[in-house]
Amino acid sequence: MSSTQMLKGILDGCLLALIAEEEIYGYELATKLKAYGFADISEGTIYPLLIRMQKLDWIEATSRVSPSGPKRKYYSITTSGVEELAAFKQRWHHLSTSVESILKEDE
Amino acid sequence: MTLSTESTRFLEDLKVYLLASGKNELATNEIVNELEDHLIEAEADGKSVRAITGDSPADYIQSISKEMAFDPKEAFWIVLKVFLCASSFLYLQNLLNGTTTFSILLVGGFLLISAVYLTTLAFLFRQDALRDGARPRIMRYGIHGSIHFLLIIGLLIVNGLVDSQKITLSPSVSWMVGALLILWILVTAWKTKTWILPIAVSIFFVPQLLLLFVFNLSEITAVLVSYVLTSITIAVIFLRKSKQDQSKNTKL
Repeated sequence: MSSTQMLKGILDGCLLALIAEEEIYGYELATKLKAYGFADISEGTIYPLLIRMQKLDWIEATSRVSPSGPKRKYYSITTSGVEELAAFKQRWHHLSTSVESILKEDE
Repeated sequence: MTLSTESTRFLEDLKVYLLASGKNELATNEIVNELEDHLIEAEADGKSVRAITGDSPADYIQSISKEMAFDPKEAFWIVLKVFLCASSFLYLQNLLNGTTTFSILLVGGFLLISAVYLTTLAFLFRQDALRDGARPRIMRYGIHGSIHFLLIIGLLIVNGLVDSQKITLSPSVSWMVGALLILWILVTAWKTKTWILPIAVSIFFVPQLLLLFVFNLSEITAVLVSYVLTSITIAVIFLRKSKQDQSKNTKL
């Protein structure tokens, strides 16, 4: 399994965490993901996920005029998004602890 | 800042694919504008469209489409618009010939052919949009349109041979329906800022009226002359539009 496939499964939670930090727009979000090490994932991957997260009511979007001219969509986290983020953190903690303990046993 | 040809074509393909898949127009415009905004910044930072879509723009377009819900209301209005557009010619032609009786076979057959036409047209649009930047295959649309034109001719012939139940409109009702169709054509053109349908209707019917009532020519001659004039006009409009698009793309 490539690292891209592994990352895709946890991308939702990572996006939620970044959106929870501050109101953010697509390009900024993609740039931040890259800066955190998600360099293998193409930038556009975030948009289908953002559409899905809006449908699930985890995030909401507001349109505002951008410095470059046209209106831009800014995303912010909703109350159910905050709950989902907390649940993701728990899942991730459990998963990473389990994986780490298996890998330590191998060493 | 303007986008590269590759990015512009990707956005066009995305829009065509989503609309031809029955997605909501507003939601489609939102995602297209959002990606346009992203591409403008990405290109300014020296990135190509592949950095956004990955190796396959076609797969990327489909991944966006999967997340967007099918909008039956939107699809219904598109079907209604195209059906009214196609039936306006047939109905107004009948009205001009003084025919106010329509058989169930003709109306039902026309609805069926229109439904098949729209479904296959949406399929062609979706296929073209996934062809990764290649030019649309105009010839296929020509053949597709011609097949359906022949199907309508066939329906008209069968309708003349087979007897089926008929609906007869009174002259006042039939003229009222005709006036409503013309009003709908004008309002739609004004709303969409696309005047091709009113132009085509005028070129199809005004010469016919002149040939019939001023020059006293036969109905069949009037229809044939109008058909040729309309076909030439539409071809010229499409060629001009295609040349304008080409020169726009070359300048970018």
